[in-house]
Amino acid sequence: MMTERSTPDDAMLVRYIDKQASDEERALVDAAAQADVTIAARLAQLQRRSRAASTALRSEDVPTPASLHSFDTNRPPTAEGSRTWLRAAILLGGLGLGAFAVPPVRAWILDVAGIADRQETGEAPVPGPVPIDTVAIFFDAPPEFLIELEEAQRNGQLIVRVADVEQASAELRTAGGTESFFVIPEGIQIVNGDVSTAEYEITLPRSVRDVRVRIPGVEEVIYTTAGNERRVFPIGR
Amino acid sequence: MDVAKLYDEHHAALFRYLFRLTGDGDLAADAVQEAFARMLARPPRDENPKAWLFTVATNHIRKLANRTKRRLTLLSADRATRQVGDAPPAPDAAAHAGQVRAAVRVALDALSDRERTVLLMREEGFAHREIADAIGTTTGSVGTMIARALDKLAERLPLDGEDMS
Repeated sequence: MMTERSTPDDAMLVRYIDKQASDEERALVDAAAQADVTIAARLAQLQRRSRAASTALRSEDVPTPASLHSFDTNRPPTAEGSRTWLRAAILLGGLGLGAFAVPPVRAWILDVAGIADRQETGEAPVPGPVPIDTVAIFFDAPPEFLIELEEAQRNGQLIVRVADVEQASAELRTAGGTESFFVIPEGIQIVNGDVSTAEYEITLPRSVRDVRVRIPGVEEVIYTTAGNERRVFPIGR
Repeated sequence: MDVAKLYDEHHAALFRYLFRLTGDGDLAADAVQEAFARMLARPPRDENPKAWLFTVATNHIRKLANRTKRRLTLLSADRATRQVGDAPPAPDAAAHAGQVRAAVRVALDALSDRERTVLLMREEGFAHREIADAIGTTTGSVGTMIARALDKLAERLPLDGEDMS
């Protein structure tokens, strides 16, 4: 990126050091460093600091990501961990791979992608990770249940039902979007975007007494499930 | 998209970057999984899957940090000095290495989240354009942030001459 400045600034000097300056910028830096000792000194300082910072960072003890090769099944469930496991379970379940096990990540990827040694054994390959239009997940619901949307969408709706079920479920219907669910201790979070048009259907067991629906820009709705078997919330702006 | 191949190629670098970013191995591992889970569920159309993975993982970390209303917590100096990996070197050398690691941690902690992200993505070989796309800014801002990050590190680490090793 060439600017009209005759003096290179720090950003240009860093691009020069990182070999990402344009020809014009390189010529400008070379000329400025020749003509101005201050710029030459700053360039040398940034180069020195850049090299030393890389050396310092490499001295850091980054542990082997053992957890990526062999999961610790005794690891206490955290919100983040639960979500990851849940997502893995969804993917495996959704692809018909049977009960959710605890595979190492790479093996899991191979399984899900259908490129494991099935090819060698001649087994029929499992369908690959094609875009899916519907995702359903199952999870335990607390008596006071929160449904939280990350964004108000362009269009779409949220349906909340109460039914004779043991576990809550959440279903996402989308047309190639990137929405997803996060199960949180208080309920479920819908990760969407302001351009989303997806629909969501949450089915709750009767053990859930109260439901809170939180949508950005909209007043929070709190209601009891008794007498409210099915409610529809428009979530479009 | 060959996700298994991408995993083999990038998971170690992604984990290293996330560990340096957060100082938390569990959090880093979760974010790696999250990024690959998303890649499997919705293969990106992006022509640069490595940049996509780093962006998704970085956003995941940010989201978690925002959700818990806390700044990303880096390892304490005490944890940073803990030995992992190879057999322990001689006590003096181990102590010195521990001090260096702790100092690096403290110096990284002094950076803003964006400065740390930019600096660490650069360390993993990303171009300024890719970093800018990942954090939603301009290439000019990336260069400025890198320079500022180096200056801040230099206030806490002997980057101007003294040997760190």
